[in-house]
Amino acid sequence: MDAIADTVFQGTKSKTQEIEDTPSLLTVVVDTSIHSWVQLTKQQSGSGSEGSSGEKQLIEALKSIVVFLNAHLAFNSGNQVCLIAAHSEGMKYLYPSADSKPSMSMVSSDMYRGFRNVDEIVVEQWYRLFKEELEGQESKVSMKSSLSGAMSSALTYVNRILKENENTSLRSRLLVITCGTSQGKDEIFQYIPIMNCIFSATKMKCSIDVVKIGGGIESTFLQQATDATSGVYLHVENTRGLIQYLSTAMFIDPSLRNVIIKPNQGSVDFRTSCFLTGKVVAVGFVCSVCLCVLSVIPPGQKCPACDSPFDSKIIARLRRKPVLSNGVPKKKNVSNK
Amino acid sequence: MSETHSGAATYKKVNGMLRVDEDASPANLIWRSTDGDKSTTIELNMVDKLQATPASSDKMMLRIVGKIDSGIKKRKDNEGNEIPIKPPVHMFTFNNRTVMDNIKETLQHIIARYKDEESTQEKHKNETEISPANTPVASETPQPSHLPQDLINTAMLDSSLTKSKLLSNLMLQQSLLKESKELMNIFQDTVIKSGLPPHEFWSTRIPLLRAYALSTSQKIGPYNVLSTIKPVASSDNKVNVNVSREKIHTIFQSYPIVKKAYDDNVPKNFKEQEFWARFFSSKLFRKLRGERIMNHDRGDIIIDRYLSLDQEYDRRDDELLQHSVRKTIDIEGNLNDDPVKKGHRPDFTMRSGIDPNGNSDGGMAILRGMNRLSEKMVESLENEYSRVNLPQEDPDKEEREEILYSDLEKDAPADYAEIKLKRKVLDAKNQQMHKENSSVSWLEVKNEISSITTFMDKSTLDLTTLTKISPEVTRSINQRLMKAVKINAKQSKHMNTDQMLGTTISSTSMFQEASKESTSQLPPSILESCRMLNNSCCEFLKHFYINFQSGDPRKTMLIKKLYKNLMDCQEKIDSLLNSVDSEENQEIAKYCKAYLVHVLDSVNLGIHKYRTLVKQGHTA
Repeated sequence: MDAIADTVFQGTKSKTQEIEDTPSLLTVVVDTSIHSWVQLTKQQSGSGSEGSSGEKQLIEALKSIVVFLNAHLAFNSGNQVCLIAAHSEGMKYLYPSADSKPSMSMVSSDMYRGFRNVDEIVVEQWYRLFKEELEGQESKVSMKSSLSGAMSSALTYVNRILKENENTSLRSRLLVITCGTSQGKDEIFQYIPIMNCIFSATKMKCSIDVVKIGGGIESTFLQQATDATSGVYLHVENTRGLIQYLSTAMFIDPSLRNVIIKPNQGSVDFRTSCFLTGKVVAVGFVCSVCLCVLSVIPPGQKCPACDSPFDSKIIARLRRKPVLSNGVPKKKNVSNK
Repeated sequence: MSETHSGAATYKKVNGMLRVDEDASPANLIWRSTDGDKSTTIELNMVDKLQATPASSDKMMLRIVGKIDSGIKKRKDNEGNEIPIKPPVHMFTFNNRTVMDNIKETLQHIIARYKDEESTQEKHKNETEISPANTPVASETPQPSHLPQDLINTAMLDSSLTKSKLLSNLMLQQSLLKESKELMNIFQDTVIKSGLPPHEFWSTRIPLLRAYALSTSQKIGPYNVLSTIKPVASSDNKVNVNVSREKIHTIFQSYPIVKKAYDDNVPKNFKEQEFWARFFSSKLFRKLRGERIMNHDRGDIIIDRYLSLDQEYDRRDDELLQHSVRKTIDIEGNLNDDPVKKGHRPDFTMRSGIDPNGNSDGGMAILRGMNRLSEKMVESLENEYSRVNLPQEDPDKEEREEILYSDLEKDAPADYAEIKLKRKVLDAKNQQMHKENSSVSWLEVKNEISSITTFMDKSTLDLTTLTKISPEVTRSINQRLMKAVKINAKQSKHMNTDQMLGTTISSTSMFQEASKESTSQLPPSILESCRMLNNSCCEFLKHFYINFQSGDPRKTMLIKKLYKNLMDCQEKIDSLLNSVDSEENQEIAKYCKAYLVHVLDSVNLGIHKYRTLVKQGHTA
């Protein structure tokens, strides 16, 4: 704490006071795809940690998120929130929701009205989300995570709100809460959509924070997203004390982003993944039309992502091996740098 | 000869004719007595003063005071004093006011011209350093002529931009190097100092060359240059015109008649300056510019001779510019050309410049002149920028298509760009995901969901449970974050000592940080050499890999050479690192190493690859 106070806050005292008054929009994308959570619970109970002993991880996460949203609302009367679920079947706006009249009262009626208006809808939509999945058929449940889709819609929402509030100079940030599994790089196939999110976020000056619960410590593309938008990447083991993480590390006002020292850990892996094999590549091939990255020369002489035909001459040239004058070919490993 | 330049005048009480001869150089004022046995010639460049009796006076006299010829020996009077030499004075008496005025005006112009010339010459002699742009006289400003030299042949643009042409265009490459300092540095370091073949260097920069060639070859198209020249009247009754070298060049291009007049007269009859002074006061200038020529306009007697020649030029142009007659009948045009309304007489634009009475107000000629000019300007671009290769436009196409019966033809089918959704890939991915998640059975998932929903059914959400986390957990979380922040703070202190400054600057934009150069710990000279080294290493690596991967046995020698270059690079990096590595500046050595270690790794990898290839070649 001393470090922060010394280097940063003194210089900008006057600035921060002026900035405090500008309202901001907090958009939270939470990964609710149930499979990963179940897997997480299983792993932690299997490894004998105290994770499963208390409440369900998802309930714990929901509570933390609700408190986090309330805290954000409490900062400024002009602050706004948005919560989006990246569910197994697709994304869904939990708040603001299309059917905004809450029918069930699922939060304490003693709560401050400003919070309750938001929380009731959030909790009820959350409940409905799982209720619907319970009633659905197994076959319908696809396994893919819709995280990148949810991030895209979160950014479109941010864009809309920013446009609507152009005169109040609203600031915005995006928090992604994702659940990692032991298999680790599960978002590997979402490289292109996540890259698109990164580009639009930098353009809108909306920083992306990521909290990854469980799974591997690294998360290549989400880390890239936070790095490019001066956000915070945090990996936590389980939902215990999640609110502590959220309230200490995730409350950096957008105006302080480039001033404050962030609690990021480790270094970011800037490599990308191969479109075909999903491997992370250091040196590879790039389609000149859609910029899709490949670690191998694709079969069929066309881009697997956009179907643009490749020049057969160039492909042949790429396949050539280096030779010396005595004509002995040599096997060459491209991605070995 | 126009009568403005001659008239009856009495000189020394003898009647005679006074005539201005502008053909001679310098121009003369010649008086000849009526009987022809007496004559006087005054060279007009030797005139100092010109005086005339005012209009109110009855007498009509013109007094010309000549200059003192410095070549004449100074005489001495009886007492040995120098007598000031009396300048020669000529006095002419007229009997007609208008004749005198005309001659006076003509003389004024000519004398003013000579005087201007003199003064500018003197100026040039005395103060050559004074910029010629402020020459205040009716003259072009003599500027050092550097008309833009063409780097590529724009008429054959397509072929000029091919790879081989660009690679062999040394002039283009040189001028690009001059333009871009950064490129020059790399070029010097790699090609000049380390012997990378220039062909190799440029072969990876074809697009750069092409873009440069295109951007520099942009030309200003022809335009109505004379209309941009605006004579400005100055206080001392002179007319000033400022013309640049480029403009003169353009004038010559657009008006061959001016070029001819110039070639004929300069420097045979007048100096360049005088030519332009004459030209801008001539009737020819007015005509070319599209102004109406009044009969009483004073022109320039010599230049205006070209007026008749110009008509000849115009006629030739008209022939060249003749449009082909359309093969179809323009019904709409005929409707407008209604003989009932206007009679059978051709429209006034169709009639020749002079109407039957022989007096023309010149309006038609002006219109024609302007049209001719416009057409010529359009025509002159015909061959530029590879337009020759474009398909010829068919003038009758529209009419022909109009005549065709096309109502029974089928509509062209709408053509859409096809977008293919790669379902297969997505499915394959999903399956892989599914495999990953297969450790979780549907039953477990269902249980989890139902437990969540039942939990939420039971009661309202109790947020207070969050506070029941044990203090140890909270503390450990705090400690973890604090530790991360402390590490990062230390790092950022190292990376950027200007943190304080940065905070105040960057408050305007949160992403500004990326654009500003981070301060470095290194002294600028070492940093610069690091950069240079990095650049040239990357350059060599690029060429090495291009040729190494090409699989072309003919490139073996080149690869070998590039391999040697890579070895040199390695050596250079090593020597740089060794030179900075000393006891007192450990810090600098550390940064140098951090900067260069990546490029060193890459160079080593390249060297290693080459060696293994050679080894394999030997063992095989």
